[in-house]
Amino acid sequence: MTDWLFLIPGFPLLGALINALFGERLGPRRCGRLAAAMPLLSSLVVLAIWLGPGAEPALLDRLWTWMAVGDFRVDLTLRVDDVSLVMISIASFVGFLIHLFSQQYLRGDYGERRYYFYLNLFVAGMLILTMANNLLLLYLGWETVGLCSYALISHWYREPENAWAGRKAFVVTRIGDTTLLLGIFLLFAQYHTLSISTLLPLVTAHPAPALLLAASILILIGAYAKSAQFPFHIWLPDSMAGPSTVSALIHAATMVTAGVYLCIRLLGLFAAVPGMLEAIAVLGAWTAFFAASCGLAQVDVKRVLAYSTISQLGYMFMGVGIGAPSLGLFHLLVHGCFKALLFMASGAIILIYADDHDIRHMGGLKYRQPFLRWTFLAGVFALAAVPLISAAFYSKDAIINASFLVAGGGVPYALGLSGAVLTAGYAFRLYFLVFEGKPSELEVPYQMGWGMKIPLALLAAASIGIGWLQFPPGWPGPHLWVHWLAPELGLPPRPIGLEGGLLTLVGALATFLGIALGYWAARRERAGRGLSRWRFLASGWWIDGTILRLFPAPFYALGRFLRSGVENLGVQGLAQGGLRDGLRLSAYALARGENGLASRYAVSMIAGLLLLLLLIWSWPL
Amino acid sequence: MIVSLLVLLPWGIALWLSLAQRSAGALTIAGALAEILLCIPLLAGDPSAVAAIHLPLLGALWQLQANPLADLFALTTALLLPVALAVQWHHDEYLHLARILAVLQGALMGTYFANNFLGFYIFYEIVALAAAWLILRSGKKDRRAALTFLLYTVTASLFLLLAVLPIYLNRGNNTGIYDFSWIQLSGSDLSGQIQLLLFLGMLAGLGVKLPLFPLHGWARGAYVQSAPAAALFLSGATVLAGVYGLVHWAVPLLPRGALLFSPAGIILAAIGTLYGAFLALSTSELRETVAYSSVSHMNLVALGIFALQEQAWSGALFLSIAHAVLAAGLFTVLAVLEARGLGSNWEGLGGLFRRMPRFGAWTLLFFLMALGLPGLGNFPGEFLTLLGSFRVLPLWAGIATLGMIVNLVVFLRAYERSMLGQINPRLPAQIADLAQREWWIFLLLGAASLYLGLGSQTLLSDFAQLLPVHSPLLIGGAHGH
Repeated sequence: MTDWLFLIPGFPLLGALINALFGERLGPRRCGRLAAAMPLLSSLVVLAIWLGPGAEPALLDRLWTWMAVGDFRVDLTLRVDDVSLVMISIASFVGFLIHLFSQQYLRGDYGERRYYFYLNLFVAGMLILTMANNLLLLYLGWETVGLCSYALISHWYREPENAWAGRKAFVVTRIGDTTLLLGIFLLFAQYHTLSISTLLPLVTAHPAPALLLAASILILIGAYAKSAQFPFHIWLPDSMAGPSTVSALIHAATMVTAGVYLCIRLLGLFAAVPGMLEAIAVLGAWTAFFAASCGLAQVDVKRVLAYSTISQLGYMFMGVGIGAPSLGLFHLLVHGCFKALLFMASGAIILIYADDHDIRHMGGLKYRQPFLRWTFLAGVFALAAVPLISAAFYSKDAIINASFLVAGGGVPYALGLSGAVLTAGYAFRLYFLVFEGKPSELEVPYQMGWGMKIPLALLAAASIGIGWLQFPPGWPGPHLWVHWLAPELGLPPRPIGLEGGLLTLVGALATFLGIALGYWAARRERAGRGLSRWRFLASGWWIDGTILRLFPAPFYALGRFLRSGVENLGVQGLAQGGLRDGLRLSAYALARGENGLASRYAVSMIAGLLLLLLLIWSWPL
Repeated sequence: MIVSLLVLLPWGIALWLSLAQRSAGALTIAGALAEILLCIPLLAGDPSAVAAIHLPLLGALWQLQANPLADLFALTTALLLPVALAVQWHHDEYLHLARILAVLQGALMGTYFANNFLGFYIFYEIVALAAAWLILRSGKKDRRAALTFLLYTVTASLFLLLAVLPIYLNRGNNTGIYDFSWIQLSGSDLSGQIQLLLFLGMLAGLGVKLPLFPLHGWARGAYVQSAPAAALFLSGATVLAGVYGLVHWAVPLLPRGALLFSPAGIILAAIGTLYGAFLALSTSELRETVAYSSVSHMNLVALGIFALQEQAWSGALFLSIAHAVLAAGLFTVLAVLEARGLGSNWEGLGGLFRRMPRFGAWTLLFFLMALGLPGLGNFPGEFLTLLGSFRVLPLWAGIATLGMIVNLVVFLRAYERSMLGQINPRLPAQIADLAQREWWIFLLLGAASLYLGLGSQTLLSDFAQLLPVHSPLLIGGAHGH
């Protein structure tokens, strides 16, 4: 029996609870240590699954019935199969590393205890989301991480902009959450179940085309909003207002990948709708390209990484869409490692530059901070997918190459490949600006303790080496990943022979072209003529501003109209006035005195009742 | 016997308080706790019943009987009173408020347990009277708000009474027995059209209490002008009388009318849900936000009832109980602000979290509950209501679902403006964070919210057994599955 699975989300949940109830007595330091211990314990349980039973067949742990009414039933059942095993490994282990890193990074912050409460709650929510076997339980995790994302983005709440950024993130994702909920309603109305493992065979056996089309679009919007895909990406760059560790955990490694995970989980649903997967592939590739182009023009170190995350998530969606979900999941893992690394390192960089985020003010950091430089470079290599020695070469390039083989894959391939050039471009532009060149005088001395170094070192190692789990077909070396996942996700299309070699070569050339682009962009930026002066790119193709100008205003206007036009004039004014005029005499009488009011009302009520009784008793029966 | 005690005990206390005219905090609390204890044997399934004051052609006027829904609502009401008392504890007007609340509580118990329609009606009127009295004598003592409330309810209940008369006569003509008891009134053979007309009449009377859009004109004044403890009880418990009237009287008495009205009702309630949410959006006054979001939630309850569908009904009843907890939490938040003389318009607040971190944390919890975060008490009710009604009228249930987005904006914005950001320079330099008493109120309500949110099945399984009692309609088909 596997009735210990609840421990995995249980530990961080317990940590959050202890923190909430007794944290004030414990003090922030002990809260921090306690909080860090919890995801460590979870990851030990996850490790036990890897070493022990494995997740084939899927492990189940039924906790209790959440709701059951008539034919509707939701049990809190945790389920771990190979796909969710990958996800919970990332959530618990990367989660632990980030907790560890935070110990020094956030020491003495004004909201330390609150920070650890939400961080623990977040890990618990993410684990519930990934372990849920039921769409509604998944939704519980989905909203919990949304809340934690809100609270942590707004962590430094004393600046109004930060509080606003948190709200923006929650509102945009809530729009997606609501459509997801509507999708759930549709699926339930048709198939009478929300259990994923029961639902998918039913969908395949009894497809209802129109309904499935509507449901999958609604669910996809939910996934896009959560995973910051075009045009719902607008919340992610602003979410950088939170601490960098939060960006590392929530806006890189875990929460934003939930949409990709949902798509992988519900692949059977999307596959049942003709054309849906193709659309996902094209939209994913488009987001990958679009966001990479924006990344080239950002001057805030974290905004570069934010656009990068949007873009990389696009590649994952593209992988799912072209029928290579196992490669999408692989890239999710790889990206989780190197982007968490880059975000945490950027947190350290920002501290070193005394809270200045602007990369144009930085430079030459490699002299004073060699450790930071090498680990950051490992992350940049992985982001740019430098051939052979970076993990993304084996995951991202594999997705791009696979798309070449798929029917209708031309557009995704072209977008994906040009996106790859831009990716290497912004990655190295960032690296050159921060670490190379003359040292900036804004730099302050900063000593990273082992608590910060260990997570960076481990993640740097993973950014280089984790790709070696899965070499391209035909190459010597391990081919563990796709075959391991094949029973659940099938084998992805992968080019072999001469075609494979050529595609790999083209991918490698794209990276080198991008590095040259990055070098050029960094030099121009130094000279003050950089791409950041190009407003179109720097503002993200003006999309954020356009959406903010177009959409919220009508809603507030409607609210104001309903208030002044309908409520004040209509309901409060007319109805009330009319009512009062109609009853003017009695109202006048009633209003004469407070005691009079009660007694007169009572008298009139009794009189009315007596009249009624008289009527009944005298009725000719 | 117990059911009579449930009504008479609070009334006895109110009477004693009126006669003794001295401070008796211990007595009021003891009475409130005794009331809770009295509810417990009922939950164990005691079919307690009494019948007294037999009148010719009317039946026994004092005819009280326990039933599962009434038991749950009675327990909710009983639990809410100590909260209201605790919120008001240090207030000068404590004694006065406790007295009116006791009258109100006894009358509410009467409406839940009344088995004779005239008895129900009289209790229902006493509720209205006591509620108006409460608005008149607490908080800003706004006579206008009290009067508005009274006029709304008096006019409305007239419709209620007139709508039941034809049913009474029809049953009497058919059976030869003239009696206002529930069992006698149910099962009339009136045609669908007439039932629809009568249902609208009953709805006018009962919907005002919810308040159902567009009968909510009294809500703003009542919730904003009265003391927070009073508003807490009004919006938490008094609205239950309206819900109960719909579920226990209107629908079972006029099943065909209810079925005919169902689509229109769903549309009306969906509009009301969004309307309340949008009005909550367009104010900077936290009290109005709370008032209108309560209107929005209660319209969602009405939506679930009108859908006449199993999941929607369970959801609506669940939501009405969760709403009591939510109202308690939100009005306690307002009471804390008022006790510190801070006012509740966010123009005068801002950055409060820094001065009152504990208060800020609890406020967020109840705001999150209000915006329907899963894991907290409101979500199961909202979800089941929308899921069930979606199976009946997808478009309008879907539109009502969009209210969840508006609700999120409403409460996050209110939180941001009042709690986060820079400290408003107009705030006093020293503000005390939560006192022990306030902290405990929040803790208990928060625990209740989590329990409802995650252990929802304990309550839902109770509904499963009461559904066939109250609505054979749902079991016989209608919008069943």
